Amino acid sequence: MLVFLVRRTLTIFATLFVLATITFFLLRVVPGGPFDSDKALPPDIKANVEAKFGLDKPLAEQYVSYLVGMARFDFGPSFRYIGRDVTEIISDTLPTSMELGLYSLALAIAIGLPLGILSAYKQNTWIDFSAMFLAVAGISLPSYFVGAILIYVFSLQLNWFPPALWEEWVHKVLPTITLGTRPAALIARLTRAALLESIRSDYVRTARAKGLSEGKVILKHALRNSLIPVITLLGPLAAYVLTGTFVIEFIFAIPGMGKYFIDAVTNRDYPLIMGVTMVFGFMLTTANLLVDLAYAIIDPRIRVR
Amino acid sequence: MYSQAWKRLKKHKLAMVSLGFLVVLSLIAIAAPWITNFSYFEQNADHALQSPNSTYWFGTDTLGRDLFSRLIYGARISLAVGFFTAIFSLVVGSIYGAIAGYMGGRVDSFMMRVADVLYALPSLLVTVLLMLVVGRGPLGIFLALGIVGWVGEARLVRGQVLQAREMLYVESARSLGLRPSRILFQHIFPNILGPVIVSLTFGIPQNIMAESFLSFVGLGLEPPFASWGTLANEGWRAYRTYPYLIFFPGVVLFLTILAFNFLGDGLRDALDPQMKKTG
Repeated sequence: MLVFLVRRTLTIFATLFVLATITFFLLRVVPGGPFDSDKALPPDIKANVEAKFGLDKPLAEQYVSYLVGMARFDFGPSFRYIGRDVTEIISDTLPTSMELGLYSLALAIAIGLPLGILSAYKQNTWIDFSAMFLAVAGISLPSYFVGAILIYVFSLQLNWFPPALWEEWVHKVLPTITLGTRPAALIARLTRAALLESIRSDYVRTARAKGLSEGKVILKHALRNSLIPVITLLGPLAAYVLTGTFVIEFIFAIPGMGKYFIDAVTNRDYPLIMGVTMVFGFMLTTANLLVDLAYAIIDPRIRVR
Repeated sequence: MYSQAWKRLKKHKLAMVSLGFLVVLSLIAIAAPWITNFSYFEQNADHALQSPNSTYWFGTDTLGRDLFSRLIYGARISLAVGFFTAIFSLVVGSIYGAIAGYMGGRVDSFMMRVADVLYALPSLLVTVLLMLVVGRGPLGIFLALGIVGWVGEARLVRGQVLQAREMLYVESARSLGLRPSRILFQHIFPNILGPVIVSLTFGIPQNIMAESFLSFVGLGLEPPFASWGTLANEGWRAYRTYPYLIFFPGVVLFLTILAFNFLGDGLRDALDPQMKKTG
């Protein structure tokens, strides 16, 4: 277990290092610098600005100081939001994005899991077919389309929820549903498949032979084992939800990290791009580590590997 | 084996309907210039923002361009990006995964360690960064999605090759003294084609979706190129008053992805009867 943990943690560091390096050098080979846009600055002013942000130093030196800064969670000042540090922008916007992501994930589990169980329980009935049809439809719906429909119906026509921003709970309903739809559908499909698989196994037959009721067999015996693949799905799902936030934040004008990422890319705000990318990378790899840990705890067979 | 799979697939009604839909859609996309009455860039300010009518089936946008024509031309780009990116990922990933799986040992664990690291990167963000470098045309988005996308395929193929390597037919091929490359391409590949085809079918809609997300938030394709994502982005700005501007691109994209998913499910059942039972 310890070896496993250490190895996984090392992989995280390797991943983050690769990500930092890729991001850094990609942004340096991009044609056009951050201060070329809009009106052209006079050359000496431009040189001054670039000197201020350390862009005039040799590439290797910039790279090293960037890595050192990152190790201290210091991504330097933003190029665009004058006077603000990237770390400060991130700590302002990250909680919003995480809140949105967690709500959506919770909603996805709350809907997907029961739907999958129901579907497996009523296998090959019209309930099963319609639930699974719904699930495939949910997977196929682009989130901006869901968002557009929800806003049109519930904000513009019915006036139940506001179409944008992130303040009171009424603001949070539509974005959460929009982001949660696809994960819910994925969870439902996987739960059904995994449950059907374990229903056919010997220990379930034993439970049935003992004369337990069908509900007890499924909920107490079969479900537990079939949760393993569902838990593994949570890693990729966390990834989807995290990166999905930037479409949702764009649609609902939510001041989260994803929205800042879009702005940063459009503005060539290098430090902000790198900061957001690294935070995303860190959260993704940590989510995967947690999933692997949960996996190893639930299923002792995994640890052997 | 494959004629049997085809027979099983033909029984799968949803999958066949989806296949038909996708074939027709592709033909329409290819034949776009002969089908549409308007070009996708032709502006007509007098006819701007017309609701769907008999001249403009899906209405016109803010610049008076025919939405129906733009959707059909958009299909060309969306489908091409999805298809070629998936093929690219598949080819690169298969070669990488096959080498790792077949060589085994140290080579394998090194190659897979590299793949693990790449797999854990936030792919959509890396795609955006890559597009900054290679440009925001169809080629750029194709390269960016492809560079990020092959790792998943590599992991799949490697697992399959690892299994196949222990099979009797591979051992007999090896004992006949065949070169590894020949064993891989002539003997192992045909046998693991099933799961690979299935993952290709699921890979295409994923790429179409990724492209449309990026274009929708304004980080994807740039004009004059128009995909379904850029159409949705343009529609988004005016849809509160003219909902059809986002409705049509959304529905077309939804139906296409839906068809690919149904087809993929059908193919998986058909190519792997073992898995059918578990659904």
